[in-house]
Amino acid sequence: MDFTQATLVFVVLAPGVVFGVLALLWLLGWVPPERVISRITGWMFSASIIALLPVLRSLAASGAPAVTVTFGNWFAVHDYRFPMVLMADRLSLPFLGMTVVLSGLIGRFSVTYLHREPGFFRFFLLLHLFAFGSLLAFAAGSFDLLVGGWELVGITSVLLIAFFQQRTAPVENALRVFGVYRACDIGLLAAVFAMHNWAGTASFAGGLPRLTGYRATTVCILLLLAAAGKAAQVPFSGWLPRAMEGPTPSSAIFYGAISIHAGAYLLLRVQPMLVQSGLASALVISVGVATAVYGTISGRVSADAKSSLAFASLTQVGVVFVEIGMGWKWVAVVHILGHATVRTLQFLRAPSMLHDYHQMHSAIGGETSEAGGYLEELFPERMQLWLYRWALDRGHLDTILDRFVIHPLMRLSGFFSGLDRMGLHRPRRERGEVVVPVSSAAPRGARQEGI
Amino acid sequence: MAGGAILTAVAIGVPWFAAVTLVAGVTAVTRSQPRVIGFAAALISVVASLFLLRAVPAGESLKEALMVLFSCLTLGATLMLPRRDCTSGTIGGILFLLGSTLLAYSTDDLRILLAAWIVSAVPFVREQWFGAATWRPRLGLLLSSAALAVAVALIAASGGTMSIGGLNRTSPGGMAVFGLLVAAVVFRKGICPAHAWVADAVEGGAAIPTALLLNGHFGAMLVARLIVPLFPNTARDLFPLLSYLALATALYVAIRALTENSPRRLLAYLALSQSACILAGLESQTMEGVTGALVHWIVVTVSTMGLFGIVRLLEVRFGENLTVARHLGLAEHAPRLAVFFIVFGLALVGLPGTLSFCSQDLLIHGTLASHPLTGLLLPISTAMNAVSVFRLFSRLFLGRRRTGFTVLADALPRERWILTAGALFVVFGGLFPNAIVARRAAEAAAVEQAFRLPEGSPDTVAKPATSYRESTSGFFERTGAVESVP
Amino acid sequence: MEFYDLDALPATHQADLKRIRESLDKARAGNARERARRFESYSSGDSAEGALRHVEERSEHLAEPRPEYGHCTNAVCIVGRRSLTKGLFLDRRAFLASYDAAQDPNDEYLAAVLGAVVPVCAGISLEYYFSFVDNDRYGCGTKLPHNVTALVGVMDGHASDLRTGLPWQMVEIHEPVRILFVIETTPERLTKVMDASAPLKQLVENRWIRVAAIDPESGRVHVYRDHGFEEFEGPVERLPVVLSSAEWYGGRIEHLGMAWIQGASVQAAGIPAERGGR
Repeated sequence: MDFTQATLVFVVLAPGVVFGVLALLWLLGWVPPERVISRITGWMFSASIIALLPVLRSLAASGAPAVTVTFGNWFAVHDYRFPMVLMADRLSLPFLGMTVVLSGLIGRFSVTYLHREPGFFRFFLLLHLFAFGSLLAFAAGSFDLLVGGWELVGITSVLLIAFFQQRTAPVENALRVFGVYRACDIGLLAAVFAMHNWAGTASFAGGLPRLTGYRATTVCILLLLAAAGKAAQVPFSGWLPRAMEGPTPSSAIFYGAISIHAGAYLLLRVQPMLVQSGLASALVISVGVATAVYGTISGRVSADAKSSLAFASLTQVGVVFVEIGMGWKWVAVVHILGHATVRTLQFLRAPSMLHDYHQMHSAIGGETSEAGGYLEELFPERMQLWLYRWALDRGHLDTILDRFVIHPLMRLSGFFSGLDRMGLHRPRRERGEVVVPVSSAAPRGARQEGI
Repeated sequence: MAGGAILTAVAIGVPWFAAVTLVAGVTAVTRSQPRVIGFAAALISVVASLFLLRAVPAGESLKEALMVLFSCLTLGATLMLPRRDCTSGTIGGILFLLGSTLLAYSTDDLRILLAAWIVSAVPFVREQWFGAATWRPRLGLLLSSAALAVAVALIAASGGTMSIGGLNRTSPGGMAVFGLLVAAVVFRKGICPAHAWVADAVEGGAAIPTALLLNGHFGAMLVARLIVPLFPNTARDLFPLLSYLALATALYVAIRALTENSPRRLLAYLALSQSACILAGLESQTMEGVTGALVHWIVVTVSTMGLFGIVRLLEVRFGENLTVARHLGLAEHAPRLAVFFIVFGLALVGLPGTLSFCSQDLLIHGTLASHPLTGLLLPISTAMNAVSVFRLFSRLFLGRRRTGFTVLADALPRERWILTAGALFVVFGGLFPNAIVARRAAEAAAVEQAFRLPEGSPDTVAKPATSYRESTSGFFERTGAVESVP
Repeated sequence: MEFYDLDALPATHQADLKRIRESLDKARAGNARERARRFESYSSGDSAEGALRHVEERSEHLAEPRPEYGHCTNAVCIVGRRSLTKGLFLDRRAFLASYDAAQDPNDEYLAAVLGAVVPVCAGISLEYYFSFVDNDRYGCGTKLPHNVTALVGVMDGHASDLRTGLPWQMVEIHEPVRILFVIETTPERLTKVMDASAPLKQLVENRWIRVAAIDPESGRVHVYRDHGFEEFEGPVERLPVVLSSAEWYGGRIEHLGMAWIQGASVQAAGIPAERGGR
């Protein structure tokens, strides 16, 4: 392993090692003080940024297509192998750089922002695990490894949404987000299996698996399902505003910068296969267009800072999807990098938004004139009202999901529960719940729950 | 071989002897220090099983590996048992269960297997022991024992030896015996439609001993050690049907768990769903599937023991009637228990970095290879289980803090050590899985041997066991040098 | 510090302006050092210029949820001549209002001053008090999940009620006491003014605030208790005397008692220590 490969391995593994060490220390009973954590984080991210430079130089100077590090097989059974390959090529290097730089920035921001918070240590633990997961996903040389990083990113973002665990709303919203992530990851798992089955390997270190015809289309559509879930495209967009329950730095890095572009990265990775398949490209473009329109309309009625930023983010990622579907790979990459930077800045400035507005008003000597409204004028009045209500309910996406997926599933579960109870003659005494019969003196429907 | 017999006798006999002394309450020591005796007996079993494991080559080590696994689980259970439950009767019952399970794993004689099967269920019959209040657990265990008894009787009636090795590939008793054995598996394991007794047993009975009973996975053991070797042709033809049943169970129970509000029942459903995945993997007739099933066996047992243990610890601290209809906010009082819970819970459903990521990977590949469309049920039910796990975690530990608890609520040192050991095992196993996967692959190959057709017929299934040597060739393969795993 | 209309300054007084500027800068730096001692992230060994830089940086830092502690730890309001408190180290816990009883024979200035000062300071004090005592109900919780809504208020996270009150980051070092007004006039004149104003009477009688009158001539203190002024007999602590305030507060982050800074006119005898006791 030469120097460049070693630096790539260092960049990917460093956050994971820091996470492991910190977690072990906590288990053993010692919580490091804030200063220690902030110093470790700062050094680690600075070292990672510096360590990416040799990789950059190697790709730029020598013209090699990629820097690859092979670790053999993580495990292998019979014909099936899980290769451990890290790869930094011209596509993944910008993403790696973006991740490392923005994570370091967020780390620095959070040291001040979360000072004296009881969850300080927990936040940084999850930040390191997230950085490790996303670096693994972006530097993976095979889809199997990418799945690993992908799921880590998912679980850390969910745990950070539930950061303010004293309130019920963040916790319930985190559960919803987790449900969407897990449902869409089925697409990724199925796509990986399909690649193994049809092309024998899911590794793309030496070039994408060779698939043609309906096989390529199927794999691309499955990957689109996973990407759409992660990037909050229509019809999965309901979770993104809910994810704003987390603290501002985590909102910035997840939904401004990295996690939301992971879906776009996945599609960029299979872009050669995507352009071959007309159906898949058309689907990607239509999903992108639908999301961009939806994000624009819903964003116009958002009253609070974070959801308007979320919808703006959504719109841009929709446009990125359109670019990917049209085959403009490098346009998409530049768009992603620029969008990530701007959106992170906007999220980080969101808490001081009132202050910024006051400064601006005092500088110009009054309020700004009301912006926009010209697009709405194009529609007839009744249409405007209808669009307003539609946008206020965020396109009814959550309602549709609830009514046609979640409630039927819950009712089915309740039906199964009734089936299970069939053999018992007396009403089942649920743990902690005593059902008072109507005929007794207690008020109708009174229940007494334990604890 | 004599050494092996002695070690086996020690591994089984010591727990039984300790169980008898504890239950009889012979000396003052046994009355006052049941946990120490239980720990010592389980430790002796662990050591004996480890020696046994070392002595056998990699391809034939399934029994010994299972013995090591179960005795380690029992060791953990004796440490994790809260003081309230730590009576000599309970420890005695647990040791009794340990002995009978090890007997079932290690024996080669059908009659002894039947005896161990029945005897291991005995402590769960009476409510005063480990049993539950409702009739369904008793009925389930009774039916499975009866089915196995009739099958063994039929085999005995058809003449020939009673040793499992001797009956290899002979299909004694034909379809009737096969059907009865499958019925025994279905009832013992809780495959639909016989799944309801598992949740009843866990909810009404003692939590940790029932978890041990379930983690014996007698059904899967019967499939791997008895059904597949003895009835290879029938198995090859009928297993697709059985794996549909197992996958359907996994999905049904996963959906059922989505609205469950009792933590114990919810965990029972999760354990049931994931162990149905084990069965589906065993029945998938692919190397990846069977290996994945065997690895998943390990993961499911360790994780579910951890989860049941933590729920029992929470009940002891915060009240017996825990319900997750509302948020309980217990993480403020017991942060370590919360962290262990989320680690074990996610380790059950395939978090990357834990052993179940590898096992789920293998299982999905195996089942999708053999059943392209129904195999999708496996990741779907795992996804639903993941949501249920997270829901359980968030309702138990997150949310508005409940006030009014003055006890020292977080994990005690002995609990912390054993939970840490379990969590580290699952995580390190996940980061460096090759050691475990390689051995399981070898055992899987041995199981798969049985699926092979006799010479002259087209070979539709897995290749022979020699390929396991390739997979043991190391975790890091540098170019030009191949490191071997000890 | 911004100076305006400097072009109107005659050339003869430029030197004076320079002197004023230097004094003001020194005062700013010293003040910054005194205030920064309460920040956990400020290392107390710094010089005054370092403290000034730290404080200015805090006010501009995007990520800082505690740019300053504002009125936190407020406990007392002293209405009287400045000579009463000259040289007294009050640890930024006092509101000061100038009033000279000798030049106000009809108490109309007293009524005006009290009418302005009492509602404002009482409101501030009560705001901090309740936000500290129950931050989730009366305050707006921690600042971190706040989401600016409609540019008029904040709510928590994705959707919640609009939060009112002070965030935890503003009140975390507050000491929840009712504010004590020390007014330099006789109890009779004070009672007359209080009776004439209904809001003032309500605040005092319902014990939202505490009032004490300190006689300008004799220096005797009367405290309002049980619907009337009673003489304050209690033990009068002698305050420590230090050379400079830096000596008193140096390196300490917690609440400090009062002290006399030498170099100012000292009237050590007879001035009671106003601890938050009664």
